[in-house]
Amino acid sequence: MRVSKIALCAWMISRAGSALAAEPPPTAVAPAAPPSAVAPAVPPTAAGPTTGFEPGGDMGAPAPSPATPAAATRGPTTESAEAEAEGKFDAAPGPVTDSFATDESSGDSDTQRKLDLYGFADFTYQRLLIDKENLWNRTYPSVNSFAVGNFNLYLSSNLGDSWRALAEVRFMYLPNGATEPDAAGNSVRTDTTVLDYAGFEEPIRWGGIRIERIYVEHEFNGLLKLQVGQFLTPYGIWNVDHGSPTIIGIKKPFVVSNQLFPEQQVGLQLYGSYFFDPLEVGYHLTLSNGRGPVEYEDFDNDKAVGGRLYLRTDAFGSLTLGGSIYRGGYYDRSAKYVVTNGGSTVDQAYATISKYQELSLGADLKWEYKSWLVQGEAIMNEAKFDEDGRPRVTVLKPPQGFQSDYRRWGAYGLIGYRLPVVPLMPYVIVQHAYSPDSPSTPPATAYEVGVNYRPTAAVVVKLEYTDWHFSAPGSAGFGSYPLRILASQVAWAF
Amino acid sequence: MARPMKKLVSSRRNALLSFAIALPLLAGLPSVERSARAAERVTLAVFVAKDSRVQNLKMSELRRIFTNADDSGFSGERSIPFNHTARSSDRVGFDQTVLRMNPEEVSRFWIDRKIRGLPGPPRAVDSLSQLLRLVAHTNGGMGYARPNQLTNEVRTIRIDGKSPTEPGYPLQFNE
Repeated sequence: MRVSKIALCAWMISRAGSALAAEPPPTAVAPAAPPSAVAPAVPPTAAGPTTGFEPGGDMGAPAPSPATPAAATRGPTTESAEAEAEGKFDAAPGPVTDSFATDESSGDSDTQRKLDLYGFADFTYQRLLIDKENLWNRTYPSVNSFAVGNFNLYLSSNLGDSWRALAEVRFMYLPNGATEPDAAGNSVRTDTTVLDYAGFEEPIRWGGIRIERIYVEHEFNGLLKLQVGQFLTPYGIWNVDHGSPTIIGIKKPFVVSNQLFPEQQVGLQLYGSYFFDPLEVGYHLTLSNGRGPVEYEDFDNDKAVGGRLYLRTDAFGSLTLGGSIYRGGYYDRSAKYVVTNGGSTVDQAYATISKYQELSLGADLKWEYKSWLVQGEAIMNEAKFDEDGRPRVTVLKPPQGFQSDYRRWGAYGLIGYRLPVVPLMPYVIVQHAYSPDSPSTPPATAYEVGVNYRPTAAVVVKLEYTDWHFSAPGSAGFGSYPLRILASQVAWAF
Repeated sequence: MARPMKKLVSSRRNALLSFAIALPLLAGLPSVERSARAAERVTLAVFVAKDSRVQNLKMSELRRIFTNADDSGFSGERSIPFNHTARSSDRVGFDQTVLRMNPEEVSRFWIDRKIRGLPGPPRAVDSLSQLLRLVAHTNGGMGYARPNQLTNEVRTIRIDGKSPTEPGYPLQFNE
């Protein structure tokens, strides 16, 4: 009985299958639309290109073929010329570059709603060319080690009607391995090892995710675009270039990594530009929580403001000159629950840990002329502490004290030349940094030489030698020791 | 008797030899033709929808449009550029003439730009008929093609004040 039921089911399924096989797909049997009803692939609105370019999707309604009335109204084009033209579209005269050039999403073809995933990563090996007794051997990070430094993923989407969203996250091994001194002077290492329940409880280490930026943007017109969310502070060149395949050197100049401007801000950014041929004038204005211990909470309601103004021209190469400013407050506090109103209410009492007002100024230049690249930035940052907002300076050896007001500054200059035959750019960087806010960091000047080899547009191989010179020992004595670094890196975009 | 026989064999050998020499030459004809065509001067017309307000663009403005830089102020409307695929000869020629970049530089340019968080390149369309339809039916749509490929749905604009048929028209390259 059971066997006969199975046989019956099999017979019905086979009948249904053969019926489906015999029946052409609905699109194939649908009557051809009359010429007047043939909708254009793109309706004549700003929403035009959306549906036609959905990934893997069709172009929508059939294209007007030479046989359609639309084709009949064509001008000088003949069918043979068109066939030849279509052939030219498919011609491949040279090597294909990469997915960034071939899988091209429209930047502003308004109603694109596809998610664009891309990113970059890098792999670095560096060693110090110094004596074994040199202090830097024990304090410089990631010496003689292979390291994957950045693994950044971008998620970008056009949301339609001139709205665009971008998110960039960095995947990290951190906090595993991060060290911090404790009160007794021990360097305590973070260990994130846990047992993996999904396997046989083998030990694995978890890492972290850092939100580099995430915002939504609306373009009112070229002069007025508004971003809300977290964005990279629009100052100078390096902070915005930021990705290891894009920047020329391996490490950020110290003046950039020391964050004289905050690297990111949470708030609003207004920007735009206008083209007075041959000069483009552009601006950025920012309003944000400013620098603080927590990205999503502004403890003092003192919003930071900033801006950047730049001029760009392609009249002789590509020359950009810019100036940036940032003004804001920093406030960090500790909180303690207290009982008030005779024991009827639980409140929080705050104690100031650190509070200061800061001003940052920056100037930058970038000039690309034929195969030459010249770029430089000079940045200044000064901080004035409230009298009751000076934090204790953390130093390993006396005298202890409170943080004084400071003005730190630095600059770097880079000259590179991309060779004509091989995609290789030898470069030189000179940088100087003065950081009185950190007593252990003496004034320093570095001379760097390196090569930036880009075998394909998406892959960059770098080799860099850096020689640091210190003009004082600093409170921890680091400046008494020479520091020479040989670093290599492979960075790639994907 | 032996001599005519020898002559016949010799003439056959010569014929075979001639055929052997001629065959590669014949096979090579298309490439000869190609190399002759390679020297052809190609003109690209920039076109917009018929009802577009854009009449003329400078090369510098065209460059800004096709690098997705801001273009408001000179074209009178927000342009939405459409490109040919990266492999097509017209795309390579357009990039070299307008953007002044070879394919490798173009690729580098867009990678760097996207990593900076800026919008990516214009949409690439892999068929001429689709390109023409898109430009014709998209507000602010703009594309480029050879003048004899255009339909009545689109309109050619001047570049640096010159139409594609005028001498000195800047958007030309050797194929």
